[in-house]
Order: sequence, then C-alpha cells, then structure tokens
Amino acid sequence: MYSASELPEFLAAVSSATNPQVALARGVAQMAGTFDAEVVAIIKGDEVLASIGYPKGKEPTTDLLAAAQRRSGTIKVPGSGLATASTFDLVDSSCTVVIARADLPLTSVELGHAQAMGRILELALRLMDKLTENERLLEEHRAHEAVLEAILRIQQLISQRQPVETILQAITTEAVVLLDADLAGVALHTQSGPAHGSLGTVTDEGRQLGTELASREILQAGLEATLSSPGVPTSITLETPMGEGKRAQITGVPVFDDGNPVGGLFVVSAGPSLPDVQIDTATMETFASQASIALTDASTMDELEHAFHDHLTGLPNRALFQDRFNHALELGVRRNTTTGLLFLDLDRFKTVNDTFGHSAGDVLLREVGDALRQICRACDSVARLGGDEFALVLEDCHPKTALIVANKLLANLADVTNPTRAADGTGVSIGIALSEPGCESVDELMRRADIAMYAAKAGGRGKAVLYKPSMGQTRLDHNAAANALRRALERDEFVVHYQPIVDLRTRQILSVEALVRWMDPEKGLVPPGAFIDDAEETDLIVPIGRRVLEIACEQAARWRRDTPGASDLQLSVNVSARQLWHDGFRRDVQDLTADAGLDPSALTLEVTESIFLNDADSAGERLRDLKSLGLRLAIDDFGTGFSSLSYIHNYPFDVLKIDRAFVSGLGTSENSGAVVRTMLALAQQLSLVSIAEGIENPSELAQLRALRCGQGQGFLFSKPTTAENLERMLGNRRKTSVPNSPVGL
Amino acid sequence: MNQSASTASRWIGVGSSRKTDPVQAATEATQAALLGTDPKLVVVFCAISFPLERLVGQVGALTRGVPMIGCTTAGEITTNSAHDDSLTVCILGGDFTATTGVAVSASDDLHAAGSTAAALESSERPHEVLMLLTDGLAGNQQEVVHGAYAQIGAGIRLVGGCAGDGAAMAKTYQFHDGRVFENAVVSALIGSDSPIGIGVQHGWRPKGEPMLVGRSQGTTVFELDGRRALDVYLERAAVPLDLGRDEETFTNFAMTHPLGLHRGGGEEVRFINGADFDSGALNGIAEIPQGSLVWLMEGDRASVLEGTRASCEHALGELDDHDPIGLLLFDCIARRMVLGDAGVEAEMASIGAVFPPVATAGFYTYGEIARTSGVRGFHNQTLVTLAFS
Repeated sequence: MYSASELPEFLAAVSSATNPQVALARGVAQMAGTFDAEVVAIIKGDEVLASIGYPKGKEPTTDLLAAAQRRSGTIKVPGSGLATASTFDLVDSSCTVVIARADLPLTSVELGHAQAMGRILELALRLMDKLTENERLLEEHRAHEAVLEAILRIQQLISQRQPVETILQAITTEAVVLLDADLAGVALHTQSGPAHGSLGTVTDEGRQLGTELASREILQAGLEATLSSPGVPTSITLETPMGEGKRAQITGVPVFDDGNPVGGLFVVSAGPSLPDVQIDTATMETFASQASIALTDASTMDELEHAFHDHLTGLPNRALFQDRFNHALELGVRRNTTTGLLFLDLDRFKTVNDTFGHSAGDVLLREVGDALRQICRACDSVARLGGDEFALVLEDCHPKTALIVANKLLANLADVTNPTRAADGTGVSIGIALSEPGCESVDELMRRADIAMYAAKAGGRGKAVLYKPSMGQTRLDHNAAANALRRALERDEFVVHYQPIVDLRTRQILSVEALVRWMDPEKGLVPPGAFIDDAEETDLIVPIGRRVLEIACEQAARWRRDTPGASDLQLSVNVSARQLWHDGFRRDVQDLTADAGLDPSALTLEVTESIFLNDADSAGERLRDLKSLGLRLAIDDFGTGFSSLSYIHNYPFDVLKIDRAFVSGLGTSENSGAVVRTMLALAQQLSLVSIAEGIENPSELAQLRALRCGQGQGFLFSKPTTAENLERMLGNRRKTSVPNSPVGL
Repeated sequence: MNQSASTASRWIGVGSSRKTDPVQAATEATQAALLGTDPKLVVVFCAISFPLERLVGQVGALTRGVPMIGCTTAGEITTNSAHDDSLTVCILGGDFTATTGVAVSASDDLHAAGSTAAALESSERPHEVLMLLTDGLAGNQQEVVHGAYAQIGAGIRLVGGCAGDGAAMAKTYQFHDGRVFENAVVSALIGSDSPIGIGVQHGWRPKGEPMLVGRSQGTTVFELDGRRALDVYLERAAVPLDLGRDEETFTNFAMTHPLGLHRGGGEEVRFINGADFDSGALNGIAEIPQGSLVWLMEGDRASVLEGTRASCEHALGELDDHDPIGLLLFDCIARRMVLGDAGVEAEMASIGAVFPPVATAGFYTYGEIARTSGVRGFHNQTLVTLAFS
C-alpha cells in the first residue's frame, strides 16, 4: 500500500538533480518505486522525455505515445504482459505521464499522489530552466525553493497523521506567505449550509479582513470563486458589517477528496495596490494538491478506523479480529504451534443495562476494553465482537497457558466488573478453544469457544472453561429457557412423580423412584427430557434437584409414617453430576432428610456414570462423603455410558441399575440376556442389589426371574405416577402385588 | 564432494573444498562441479582468506573459455552445509545460455555501474535472469539495482548479493573471467528454456509504532520522530541508552534489530551496521530516505527459519511443476548470526525439507538483490533463493 510519506522523498530526489534530464530520470524512477509500477514514462508532443521499464534504447515509443493520447487502455509491460496504463497531464509543461503496473491499475488515491509528484517535478524543472536561463532569476529560485521546503513541512504533518484541520491550517499559512497574498483559505462544501474550512493570514490587511468579515463569508466567497472561474483572479467587493464595500481580488483552484471535487484553495488580495497582483496559479495548484492529499488521507484513515474498530472501546471489531485471527491460525499451522481463542462474555450485562441504563453499560464495556488492552501482551489480539462479547487470540499457546491467561483475566476483570457498579454484580465467563490438526478454521474455533463460553456460564459464571467435544455441537437459546425455568422454580411448578420398584418374585413394592415433572400452567405436564438439559447447562439443576429431594423426602417420610405396611418403604432420588459437584449438596441431603424426618438409610441416591467423566478420584471422594450420611448409592443406567467396571468396583455403590436397553426384548432371539447375566453376576460378586429398568412385558419379567434378578421397575408394574395414585397402590401392598395394568398416567 | 542434477539437456554441478592450498582447493571443487563437457557458466564463492589471484586463476584455467563470475563471502554455502574458509564452485551447463559483464570503480557512480553491468545481450530464451554480485561496502546498492533496471527494463528479473569478507566489513572482492576486482559489479545473464524460480523472504516482524525519518542522507539517518535517531532507536528497542556508547555491543545488538521500511512493493528490511555516538546518527548499508516511515523489527531463530521456508517454497512454486535441478542462495550474514551454528544446520535442513536433494551453492552476503516485480530490489537480512529447473 502506498504511503503519503513517500512524497517528501520524491521532492528530495528531484529537487537535488543538477539538470532537467537527471531530474526527469529520477522522477520516473521515483514514481515507479513509489507505486511499484514497472513502467513510467513522461511524454511531450511526440517525444518520450524519460522512461523506465524497457531495455535501454528499445523503448516502444509508438506504444507510449499512443497510450498518452488514448489517456487509458493497456500497454505492454516487459515480462508481465499487458497492464492498464494510467495517464495524466502536467498542464504547465504540456507533458503527459504514463504509469503502468503489472498486477493492479493505480487507484484513484494513488493517481492523486502521482499528480502531486508530477507537479513537484514540473516545479523543479521550471526552477532549473530559469536557473540556466538567467542569473537574475535567483530571487525566483529562492521562492521556488521556499515552496519546496513548505511542501516538505506539510508532508511531514501528513506523514505524522496530524489532524486534517492542523494540516489545512499549515497549508493556508504557508500559501499566504509564498503567494504573497493577504489571506489564504481552504473552503469545503457541506451537504447543507455554508462552506467551512480554514483561513490563514500574515498581513495586516488580511487580519483586518478577518476581523471585519465573518470567516464563513470569506470561505463562501472563496468557494464561489473556485467554482465559477478556477485559476482565474476575480475582482469582488466584500461587504463589511460597517456597510462599506471592500475591493479584493480572489483566486481559487479546486481541491479533491479521493478524486471528487470538495471545495477550493483560494487566496485573497485586498488593499490599494490591487491591480498589480499577479497570482502564481501553478504554485497554488501545488498547495491545492497537498490539501487534496491531506483530505484523502484523512478520509482513508477515517474509513479504515471506522471499518475495523469498535467505536465504543476503540478495540478491533469483528471484521479486523477475524482477519487477525485467521492470520494467527495460518502462522500457527506453518509453525506447528497451537493458537488459542478466548471468548469473553459479561455475565448479567443485560441486568446492568436494564438497571442502570445504557450509558452505564457503555461505561462498563469501555472499562472492560481498557482492562483487556492492559492485560494482554502486545502480540495478542483483543477485540470486541459486539454486544458484551470480547475475544482474545493467543499465539503459540499451550492449553495450560490459555487457562492461566483466562484466570488472570477473570481476576483482573473482577475489579472492573465490581459489584459496586451493579447491584447483583457482573462477572465474566470465558470459553477457550485451541487449534488442533483438523480444527484450524476461524469459524470452527469461534464456534467451539462460543460453546465453551456457554458451558462456563452454565457452570456457574465467572469461570473459564476449555472446549471439549463432549460439550456438543450447538448452543441452545439458553436465555429464554433459563428464564422460564427460573420462573417455574419461583412459582413452585416442579412436581414429583413416583415409580415403584418391586420384588420381581412377589411384585411387592419395595421402593419408589422419585421423578421430576414440570407442571407448566400453559403447556401442561412437561416431561424431564424437555427441560433437564437446559437446567443442567444453566446450573438451575441444583435448586431444582434440591426441591425434588425436599418434596420426595417429605413424601416418603409421610408414607413410612402414615401408610400402613409402608414403614420400610425405600426412596430413590436421581442426582445429576452438577448437583453432586455443588459444594452445598451433602449439607442439603443432610438437612432435607432431617427436616423431613426421613431416616437416611431409607434413601438411595442414584448417579450416572457421567460423574466420573472429569475427575474420577474427586467423584469417589464425594460419593464416600455422602455415603457417610448413612444413605445408599445406586449406579443408574449402568452399561450405557463409557463406564468401565472399575467404577462400581472402586466406589461405594449398593445398587446397580441395569439399563432398559439390556432388558428390552429379553428372551427373544435378538436379546439372549448374555449381557444382563454378566451384569447380574458382577453385582452378585460385589454384593450389590440389582434392579432391572424398563420391564414392559411378562416375558421380560420371566427371563429376569430366571436370571435371578431381584428387583425391577417398568410399565409392566406401573408408569411413574402421582403421589396419590402411588399411595393407593401402597395401601394394597400387603394384600396383593402391584396390579398388572398400569395405574395413573 | 559434489552434488549434481540435470535434466535431459541442462545440468548444474556444485563442488566444494576446504583445502587451504588455493590450487588444490580450486582443482578439487572445480572438478567436482564439472559434470559435463559443455559448461556455460562458472560461479565461484570463496573465503577472503585464500590467495585470491591464484585460486580464481586456477578455476579459470580449468574452465578455460567459459564465462565466470564470483566473489568473496561471509560464509560459503554448498549442498547441505555451510562453511567458513572454504571454496564453492557451481557450474551451469548444457542447454543454459550465459553472458557475463563487469563494471569497475562502482562507487564513483553506482547507478552507472548497475547499468554497465546489465548491458548484456539477451538470449531471447523464454526464461532469463540477471545475477549481480556487488561490493556492498561501496555505497547504496539500491542505486546499482536501479541502474540495472533502467538498462534492461522489467522483462528480466534481477537476483544476487553483496560480496563479504568474513565479517570484517573492510574490503570485498569480485571475480570476472579469472580476474579479481574490487569495488566492482559483476554480472551474468542466464537464459533457459525451462522456468527459473525466485523466492525472497526475510524473517522479521515489526515491533511497535512507526517512526518518521526526519533527516537522513543516503544510508545515514540523523533524526527519527524529530529527535536523535540513535536515542529513539534504543528507546523503541527498550534497551538501556548505555548500549549506544559501546561500538561492539551496539553493532551486535543492531544486527538483530533492523529497521523495517514501508515501500510501495511492501516492507523492506534495513540493516543497521553502526552509529555515530556523538551525533546520534544511525548507519545502514541501504538508503533510508528522508520522510519515509520505519519500524523497529525483531526476529528470532524461529522467524528466520520461517523466512527460509517461505523463500524456498516461493522459488519452488515458480518452477511450475518442473523438477528443480539446482539452487543458488543469497543469504544475509545477519540471519546467520541470529541462527548460530546449530541454526545454520537447521536452515539447511529446512531447505532440504522444501526441495528434493539438488545441487546447492550460495553464500552469506552483505545485502541481497531480488527484483521480481516493480522496480525495487535491494534487500537486507533476507534470503533470496534462485531455483533452476
């Protein structure tokens, strides 16, 4: 990409040439270098004054002259074939410049810069002509030298990316001196309303004008002069507020932004000696082209800034971030290193906005942005992706490093998102994804980090979580689901149904398994499959589970106490992994059984193999801890997961529940019962009680009996049913077994 | 030792010798490289420690009538390894074409020297490249490239490097047709019917914000961001200003902290080889123009090796699926210093990982030349890979 900073370099090269031929040769070489163009030629009439890009002495003069005349089209570039030729005229010296670049034609911005170079070249050539022409013109030489120096100063401001107002001010100040005018200005159109711009003056006359007239009027006059007769001095009468007309001469030349005329650079001469004023329009145009460069450069920078940065935080936006991330990933692939992606999402940001207003939310976002910038290494890319989402790329990143960085972010951002700001406190959840062979695309890693971030939120917020394939493929609309579940909890819409577990020999009810249902006032009874996943991911499973345990313990205690013949009834309650890991869980069990007056030995907690997924040792510890309360533990859905037998072997289980998948179709040719037989043998060896799940027909029951399975549950005996229905069944307990037809739902 | 490759009609042989006797060394290396009866170009890279007249004279005598160019180096590269105090001879033969040139007293007018050296008759083969070996201590080498470009135009690409002298940076020599020159540009225009690939890559990355070159003259920078260039440079590099008081410490540091220069064709690296501690000026070996924007660059072994890989892959890619038969490498001395001895081995291994085993010759340079598009073509701290098929 071309940089405006190369103009001073051009200036230095051509203005130090000792004769016009050298200046021209340097000019074409410099232009070629600046725009990385293979061919540059300067043509006057039917003569090629200078060119570069062709073997010496073999310049295709006819082609170049044709290109100069055509003003566009293509030209042959040696070694590269045809290329688009850009041309423009140097009016003062009746020359045409032809530039051809093999890969891409010059952009309009580059063409503008090339024209500025052309002007400088003209100026330098004119200077040389005059030098050789006559010593008397030494004075003019100095003047021109002064113009070149002024341009260098202006160029430095442009290179330093000074505000465009500063640059325009400098241009008008330099112009007013060098053009020997009373006042100079750059006047710019506005969409509606009067012209705006910048004025410069150094003379008393100019100052007086400036005081007597509003700058707006002068700018408007300058703009009009530029539009009506560019480059031609116009006499005007400026009306002062005192009512006296002031005669002045005004000359304007157009300035451009990205090739479009946007106003003019003008000079004003006033005072008694008016008729003698001579305006050097070539020098004016030189200054005008500087103003054009400054405006174009400023709008380019603005656009760049606007296109790639987030206005609120000043951080790169999603577009720039994706670009940088992509680059980092490519580099990672080449270097064979891992690239890490951290997704940050403010917890409860919506609450901040809702409670304290959007401006408070904006302040918080800005502060988080600042904090992220401070924490991150220079080579890490930080971005705001939108809303309350931020992202961070870690190059050459070990999984451990990613977690360390994430935890550091959590710690540092805790200050920023301090609860003093928001009543219930915001925090940050971080999802981490790492590149790996086969997963090196921006989209896939962003998806993974997103899923991990939601897992972090589901895990209790304020956490950092590394993506695992087990987290699934998609992220659900958790917010809506979470809100509904939270409301259901508040309104106590969760109810418990019970399914009897019977002695397979006698069909007597030994125990009941408590199963949660959601009595949605709108949808009716919602089965657990429809909401348990959401409850798990939003962590609401913990309070829901607690409520289920509470209801079931109270119910079981009541039955044991009040229902004749049910004094030894056992209760089974399912416990999710998340509940188990919840620090208050053991305490809850202890309190709830005590409050209900249920002997812990009457309670069996059922867990699935998934509790061993993350940290089997700690899971074992938790189980032993629970067991010490005096209750019993069952392993549920046994055989369906990834379990190895070692789980039951090494942990304090009392009950093994054989999943319905192994029970279904028992005794048919498809299911010979070999698996069930093995499980039963295992259970027997470990002195576990085995319970078969999902018994649906008499032949399955017969097979299980034959295999000496002690207990079972299933539709054959009863579907899960309400407490009332179950109570009725319990009333019959001593007399008969569970009826053959399902009761209840 | 020797390594060779050829197609039906073209061949490239490389021979190397570590013997100290110039006649023995020249004989060993030349005989190993001379694979056929129709040699077209002899390229000689050798350490400055040899008696050069006798060494080059002997190579010339053994390849009488065959055009020859060469130079002294800061380390010679031969197939799979790099050495000091050795001689590498590379011979292109068969259906290659080659003409050579020499321009003396280059420092008087570098632009003219470039033009003179490039004034060679084109063979009109579909693939042509002009190789330039120059005296990097003779001034701004971009001028040589400009001069050569102005002479031959955009149709022929330029490659090459600046001769070395160990690491003494005192005086280098160029060879042409059995004779030894100093302050010269020697050239060879090589033509082929089969593609010739060029790869150019440095291995540095920009660090921090850009700086504006306020005042500079040729290869010397006086002011950066309106202040003493040396002070700003050290500040940006975040090293103590004391470093700018000891010449040797500074040179060693600067070797691995070049400046990046924004150019139309992309980013170029400018090697800083010294400073004037009184005036606070920085000295480079290529022009750093007034008004340009520069960055401090940093690199490490990994980034340099990454540059190697990219340079080789690009050159290979340009062969358009033709089998490579030989490589010429122009590798910056500063890259060698960053890599160290073990790193040089790693670099040779990474070249071997890109190319199948082919005859390889080259040298560690004081500046690299590669003009493939646009008009600029002088590089610093870069690896230029020239691959023949």
